[in-house]
Amino acid sequence: MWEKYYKQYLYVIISFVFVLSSTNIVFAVTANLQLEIIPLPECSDTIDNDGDGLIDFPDDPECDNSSDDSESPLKACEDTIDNDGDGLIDFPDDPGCASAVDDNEQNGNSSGSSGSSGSSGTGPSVSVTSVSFSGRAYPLSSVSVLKDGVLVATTIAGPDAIFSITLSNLSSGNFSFSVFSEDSKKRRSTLFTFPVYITKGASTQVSGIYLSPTISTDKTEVRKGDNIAIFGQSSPNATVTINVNSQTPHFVTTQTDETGAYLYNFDTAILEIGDHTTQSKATYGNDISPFGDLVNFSVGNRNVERGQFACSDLPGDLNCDGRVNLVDFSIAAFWYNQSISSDFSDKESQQLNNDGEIDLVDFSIMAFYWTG
Amino acid sequence: MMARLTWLILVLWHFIGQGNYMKKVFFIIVCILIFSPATVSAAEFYFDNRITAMGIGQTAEIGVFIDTENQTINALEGVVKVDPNFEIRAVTLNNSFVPLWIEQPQIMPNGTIKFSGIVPGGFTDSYGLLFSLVLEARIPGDARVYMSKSRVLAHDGLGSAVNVTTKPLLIDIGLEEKDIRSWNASDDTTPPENFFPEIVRDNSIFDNQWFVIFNTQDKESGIDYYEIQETDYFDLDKLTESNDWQRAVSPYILSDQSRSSYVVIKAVDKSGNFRIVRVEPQNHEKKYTNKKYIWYQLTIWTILIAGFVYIFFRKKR
Repeated sequence: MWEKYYKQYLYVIISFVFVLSSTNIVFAVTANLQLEIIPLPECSDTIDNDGDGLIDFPDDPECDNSSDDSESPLKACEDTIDNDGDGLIDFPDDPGCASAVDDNEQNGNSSGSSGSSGSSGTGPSVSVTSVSFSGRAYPLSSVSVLKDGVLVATTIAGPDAIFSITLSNLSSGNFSFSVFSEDSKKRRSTLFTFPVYITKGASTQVSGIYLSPTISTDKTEVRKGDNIAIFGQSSPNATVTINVNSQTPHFVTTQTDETGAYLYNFDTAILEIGDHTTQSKATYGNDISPFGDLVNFSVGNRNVERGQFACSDLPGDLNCDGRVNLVDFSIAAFWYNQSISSDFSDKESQQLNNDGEIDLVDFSIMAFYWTG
Repeated sequence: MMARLTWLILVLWHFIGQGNYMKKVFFIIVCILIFSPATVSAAEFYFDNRITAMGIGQTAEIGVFIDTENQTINALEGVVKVDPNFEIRAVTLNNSFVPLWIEQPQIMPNGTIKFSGIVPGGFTDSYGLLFSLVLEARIPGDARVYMSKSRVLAHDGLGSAVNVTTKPLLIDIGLEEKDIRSWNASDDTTPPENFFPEIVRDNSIFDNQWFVIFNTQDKESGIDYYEIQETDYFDLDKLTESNDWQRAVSPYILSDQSRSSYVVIKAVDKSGNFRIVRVEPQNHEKKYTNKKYIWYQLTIWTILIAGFVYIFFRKKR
């Protein structure tokens, strides 16, 4: 039977392989990101909530501890004491209390205000609206935060790559925040971007950020069969998964050292001749970073070392300052839906999609490589 | 993918050969179900559908949203249209997730709303508010709010197009007032966000002359317009009352290419709140070599010295 039908079996097997090979299986990596809005207790929010000139625990005597949620002294109508000796305690039991903030239990009298009783105040309290970011970057790296695409704050991560940064005095509303870092060799991570709605008077905390590793290669072109070094930086003692894209993606893993550096010598014998890309992600415990930037290289018949940074290495960097930001956006916006000049045509061909015009695709490329 | 699947079906049909017809069909159907490509998810533009009916003369604020269907996108553009039953009274940008507009949503002369913008770093959400339309019901009947053109690009560094669908909104306009939340002009009293203009030059625009770039947000009513002044001095009170402001769009070429003037920019939101920021002159000392300034100074000093000399000699006499 096999001899009779082997050709048909062969056709079917080839067909299955042909169809299945076109199926792309994408693994979604979800960062372990947590968003929590915490109104700070009045006794630790750095605000003189009761206007008595004294702020927080232990300075304000009305604060029992830093978790106490009221700086105000209790009013006569809420202090559980029969202040007027009539046998009736507080609002609503004592008819002398118009409300819980009434400061006089005596019948027919009510007093009190929203401020404190007695000492002078310093004016109306103002709630501080803030957002905090924390997570992992690279050891002792600078970590920057963009708000709506504009750089607003920078901090330095610890030797363990842990960072924390807070933005204060924000207005309420929808904001797009991005976090990125720069490693010891001045390579930048991809932007870790997320929309956050800031609530007035509340402190928003975004934790669990894990920035993608930086990545580069020692060659832009490698002779087939030679090794290409893939290296970069992430958090210390993490597992880095490197994906080399080909017709069949290749995944390899390596470990970062105590400085967060990793290096993998990839044997290109298994790659086809032509263009390839590589990218990496890091895992530390239960934390997984997203994949980072794509780095291009090609497999051919010679080795070409990767040189110093060239303007064309950063798509979207129209003014060659090593950044993609509002300046580049504005330059592109000038040429939007217009015939471009010959000077700008060179930039468009090197830095953008080389189609001879500025349209939404060029801005999308810029948005991907945005640095702020 | 479909071509490969078709080839597979043809091969299978041949393989099954002369057998039972129903068995053939069943086998093919099973293969199609197993191997057919998964439904390609698409981003979807949709409108706030809480308002389904309005009365003549009533106004309502309708949000324009996008559901990215778990894809990360970073650029979008489109044109929103409404049936003639409506008049578009305003476009508001409060709480928009788009930080950078290439073309800020605004009412075009033909009554449509055109928009395009980007989100640096990408965006993924089911309830992404782009902007809101304030519509006044004018003519009774079923009236649509819909997207006539739309385009969404993926956050992949290539600007790859994302499949996009749109879901129109249908509102029944009747003669009687409906119990809806009518639109009120925003009671926004907060000025726009602080911002830091930059003065740069590039040989690809403005013939390498200095220009200023600027952009900010207003989270409550949205930015309406920008104005600019180039002055020798910075006095906030006088500038606030000044009528010498010029409307400006970024990038804006500077009149004073010597960079010896303050460049003052005013961002105004749709409720009339404003924020004024300045860029310091870079070549302040050049002001003092400016010929006009020198003649001005010489004239004043000559008058003063002449006055003292006159008084001195008159007293002596």
